Amino acid sequence: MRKKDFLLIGGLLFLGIMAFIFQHIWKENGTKVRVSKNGETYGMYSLKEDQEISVGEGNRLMIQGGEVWMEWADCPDKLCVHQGAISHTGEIIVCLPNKVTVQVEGENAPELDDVAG
Amino acid sequence: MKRNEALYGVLITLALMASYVESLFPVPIPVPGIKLGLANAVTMAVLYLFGAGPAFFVSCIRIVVSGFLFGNVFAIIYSLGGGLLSLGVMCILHRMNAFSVVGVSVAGGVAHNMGQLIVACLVVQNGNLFYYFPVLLVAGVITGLVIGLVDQEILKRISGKGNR
Repeated sequence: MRKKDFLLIGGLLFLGIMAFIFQHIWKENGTKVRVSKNGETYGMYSLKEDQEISVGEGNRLMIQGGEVWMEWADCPDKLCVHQGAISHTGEIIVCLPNKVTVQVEGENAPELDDVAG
Repeated sequence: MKRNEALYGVLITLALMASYVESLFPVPIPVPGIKLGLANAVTMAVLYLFGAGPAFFVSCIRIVVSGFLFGNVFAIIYSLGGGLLSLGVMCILHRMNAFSVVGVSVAGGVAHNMGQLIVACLVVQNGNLFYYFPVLLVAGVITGLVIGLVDQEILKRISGKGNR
């Protein structure tokens, strides 16, 4: 290994860790959940109301106690289910095979809007 | 680029085997796109031993075939996005000769995860997937580092016997 390798590794790790820290410092509790399917908003739901949401045939969400998680999905890897609960602004659960995203939003308008379809 | 169907058959099979072995060990981190990148060890070895052209060829064939073989045709587009970006970056760095195999592998690992992330954002039309950026970046560095060290040892032992 050469010196430049160490610099590259160190630099990238630094970038990743700083980004991670920033994400967590600016964490704030979200107030609503935006669910989208196939790139279009499927619905907006309040995090304060406990509810169960079915997104089409293949995904089921649960909102309870201020958190949202993927209760069930019919995708092969079920990464979306294993991810667990999210509740802070900007956090997102995605089920790629079914093209479903679940994003927590806060009072302020989100910085990154959905890309226009 | 010497035409040698048997050699390509062996290389593609090696890459497929690496892909399969990797699928036997699920990574416990529930983030889409996290994997060990064992197939990249083969891709990189092909790059160093035979050049960019063969590396692209073996990589693309392997991605498409493994999609069909291991039951996830849908995932091919993510693999291609990550694989092409990764290989592009590695080819450039290889040519620049600024880093050793390890550095190239780290860059390749990170580029692979970024490529997949970009494709995923396009598929669900939501840039907010970049929330996963830090995890994927660090994972790319770590897996790239391990695979790079492995390839360093492999290439040390078979470098003299390649076609180049």
